[in-house]
Amino acid sequence: MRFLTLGMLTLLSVGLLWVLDTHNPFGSPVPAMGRLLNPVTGFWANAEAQGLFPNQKLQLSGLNSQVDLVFDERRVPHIFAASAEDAFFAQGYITAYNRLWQMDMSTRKVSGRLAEVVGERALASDLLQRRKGIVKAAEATLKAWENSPEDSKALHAYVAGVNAYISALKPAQYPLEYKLMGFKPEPWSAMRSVLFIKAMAEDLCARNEDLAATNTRTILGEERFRDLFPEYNPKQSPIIPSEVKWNFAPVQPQPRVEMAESILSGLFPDQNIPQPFEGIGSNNWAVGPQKTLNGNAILCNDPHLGLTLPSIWFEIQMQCPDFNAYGVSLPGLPGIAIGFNENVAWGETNVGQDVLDWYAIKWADKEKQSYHFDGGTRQLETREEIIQVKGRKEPVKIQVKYTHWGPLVFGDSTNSPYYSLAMHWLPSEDPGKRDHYELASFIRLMKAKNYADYDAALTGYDAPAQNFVFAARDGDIALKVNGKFPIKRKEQGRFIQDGSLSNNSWQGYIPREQIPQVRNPSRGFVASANQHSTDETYPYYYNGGFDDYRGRFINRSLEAMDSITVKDLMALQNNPHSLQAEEALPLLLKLLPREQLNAQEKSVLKKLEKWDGNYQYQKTEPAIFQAWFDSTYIMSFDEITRWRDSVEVLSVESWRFLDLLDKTPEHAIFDWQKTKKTETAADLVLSAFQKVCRGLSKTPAPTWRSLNNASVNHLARIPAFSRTDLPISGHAQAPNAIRNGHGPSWRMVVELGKDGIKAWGVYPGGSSGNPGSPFYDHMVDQWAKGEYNELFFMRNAQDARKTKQSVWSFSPKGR
Amino acid sequence: MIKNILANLALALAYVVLPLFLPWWSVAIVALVYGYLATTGLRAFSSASTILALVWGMWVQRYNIPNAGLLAGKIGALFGGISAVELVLITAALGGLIGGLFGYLGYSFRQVMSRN
Repeated sequence: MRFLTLGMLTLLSVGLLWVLDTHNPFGSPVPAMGRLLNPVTGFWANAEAQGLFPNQKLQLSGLNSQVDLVFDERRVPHIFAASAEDAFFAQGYITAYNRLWQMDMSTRKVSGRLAEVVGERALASDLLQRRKGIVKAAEATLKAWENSPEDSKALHAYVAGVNAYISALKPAQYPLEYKLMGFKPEPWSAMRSVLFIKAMAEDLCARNEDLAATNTRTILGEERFRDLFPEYNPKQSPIIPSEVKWNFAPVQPQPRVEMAESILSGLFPDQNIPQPFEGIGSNNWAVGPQKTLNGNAILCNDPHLGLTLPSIWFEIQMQCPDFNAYGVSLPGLPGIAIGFNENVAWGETNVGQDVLDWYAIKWADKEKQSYHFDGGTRQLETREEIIQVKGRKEPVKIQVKYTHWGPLVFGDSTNSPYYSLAMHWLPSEDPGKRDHYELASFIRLMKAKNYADYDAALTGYDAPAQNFVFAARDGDIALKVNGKFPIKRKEQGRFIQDGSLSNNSWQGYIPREQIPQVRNPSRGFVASANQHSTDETYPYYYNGGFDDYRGRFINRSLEAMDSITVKDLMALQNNPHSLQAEEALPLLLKLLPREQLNAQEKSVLKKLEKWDGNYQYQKTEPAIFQAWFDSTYIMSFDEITRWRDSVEVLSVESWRFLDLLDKTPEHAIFDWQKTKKTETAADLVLSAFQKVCRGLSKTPAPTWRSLNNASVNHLARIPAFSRTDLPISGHAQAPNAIRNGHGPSWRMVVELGKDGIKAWGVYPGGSSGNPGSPFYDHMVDQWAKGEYNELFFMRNAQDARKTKQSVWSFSPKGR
Repeated sequence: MIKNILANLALALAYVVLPLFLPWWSVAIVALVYGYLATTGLRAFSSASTILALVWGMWVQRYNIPNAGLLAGKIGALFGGISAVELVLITAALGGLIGGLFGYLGYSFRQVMSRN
């Protein structure tokens, strides 16, 4: 009996310990509670003390000499090093200290290694990433970077710094999310940094509408397609002003070889081709001395990206004999992406040009393993990808199939209509030999003293293409639509192309001196907001997704402004005015047959008539207008939208929609297919308005805040680590382009004075990626209010020490 | 009396020191050994339990107080709206449970061994 009791007690005790030490016991979502709660290695050790950061002295191998890191009151590190390499080492160390889990997850995701740590639920995403050939592409990029000392020295110093941090980590110090998810950090590598830039490229230049455009053209027929989907908005105010003339002889693309037979038939069903978030971009501009109150050039940038905690940006100052630069860096990459030094400032917005094309493969055998190409046949090449899946004994192995064009992204089943589609994506191409690449472009900007340095820095930068804005203390302002751009004949890459002809390849790349660029234009400012790069006189064809409202609004505002101050430009960055609403509301009001409205509808109308197009979070008008506008849109294009659930289709651009409402309200597209009657735009506008009013009679109008739900979500979407429902005024089509979890991820204003640089900035997060740190999200509320921090641009470490903030001193180990 | 205080102090010390070098669950071994050496079952259970609860509770407060309950509040929210204070108590209680169970287990072992 005693033995039995003892046995039971042993079983109970040991069993309890096992459950407490097992991640997801019995398949439950519960983490290992004992590991998580115990005071030694549990989450408690991640609870950071409020107040001053403790000083530290560390000996680290891999350093050449002493490095000081001074932390200001926002815990932004200011690095003071005796060489550039030591500065990048320290950047790697302090970035990993703050953001290790984020660095790990973002590169795991892009390279298809999530299932290894989270199990089955990430397998589909991993498979897709592998089939896109991301890792193969990153290998080619890394090989190229290794051949450029400028890039590779910075990269390897950074990697060594990250690893100096990781190698000294004890389980108690693992970032919180590792403890919650039950896995361990692994060493960083140069490959991981390259993967990070591929993740940025996926986010910024992987949008593709070839399938949707091909389907939509099939559904609508050629004529109506042309009518509804013109590629250029005549109202557009392009990035490069029209005063810039193209004084060069462009490379002429080869004419298209006509196909004997169409290789495409039928529609491609909806497969959810992975797409980055659409239609929200970034703003940047620089105003020249003649437009500002005190004669200093001012540069502004607010890149709009997915807003996450930890933030995509890490604020930092780096000083060494080669440079003294301040700005924001990307966790995973050495250098400063957006910032300034003692002489110049720079920033970026995304270029929407389409650099991802799909090719239809014409099979030469029944097994679909060889294909026709220029009269001959070619075999598919394969590359094995091995995916470790947590909880499985054996890894998943797949053969990714490659054609001349690129991978068969849907190559898992030969029966799928998608099987025959090969993807060609610019960032997957071998970068070839150059004197420097993307990393060195940023490092050269950190060193730049003038326009010539900026000009030389950008030649090494391919992808993701960016509109690089520039301003210098000498008063120069400039903007380059910079990157590697394919030469295409008209409409090449707009639709799926025949993959059996090399004639359908890109026709080389636009020579760097012929890319769209402008320096010191007569209007006194340069600006970009993801709109078309140029007007239609630019001799090269390009397609893609471009903004239609923010760019025009910003250009209009800057043109009207004079004696500009820093405050004025901060107000412009935070402006919640939507030009789309400004243009659409009068059109809708004009078309609305008032005599058919009842009393309640009239009162709603009265409210809307007074609305100014500003998306203020506490107001209800923006929500009412948005519902009316969206509903009219959907009814107008029912010919297309009814296909949305079954096949990939394009959406008519909103500027074209407004154009149709304005000029051709009797257009046949406004006829609603469901009814026998022939509707016009006025009928739809009325019907949509009445629908919205019926809704309002049942439930009161929501505020814009509740509808827009401005949020900064934790990377793993853990609600307790996220900030949601933020009171912030803005709209996707307003300069303050906030929409759900997307928006201005960093707002920066730099004044380039004769006697020095002054700068202000804010981002919705904090330097620490640790949810247990007071510096995790401390700037979120400030950001939501549109407030800025004056950036503390320290001249040297001695100067910095006077501020009595904390200092970490790194010295080389074993010397 | 002094013997008891010393034994309890040694127990507390072992609870703190051992997991610094061994896995967190080494506190269970400490409790087991203590229980084996304890004079009564009640003492084996109560001391092993109370002292681990106290050690854990105080230890986590060392992190929690300077952090002003920031992280404990978030982790509590993650587990369905537990407050920071409650999470401190739960951690202490978990320590108490482990200490008590293994303390009594150690005692029971000796009982069985000494009978044979």
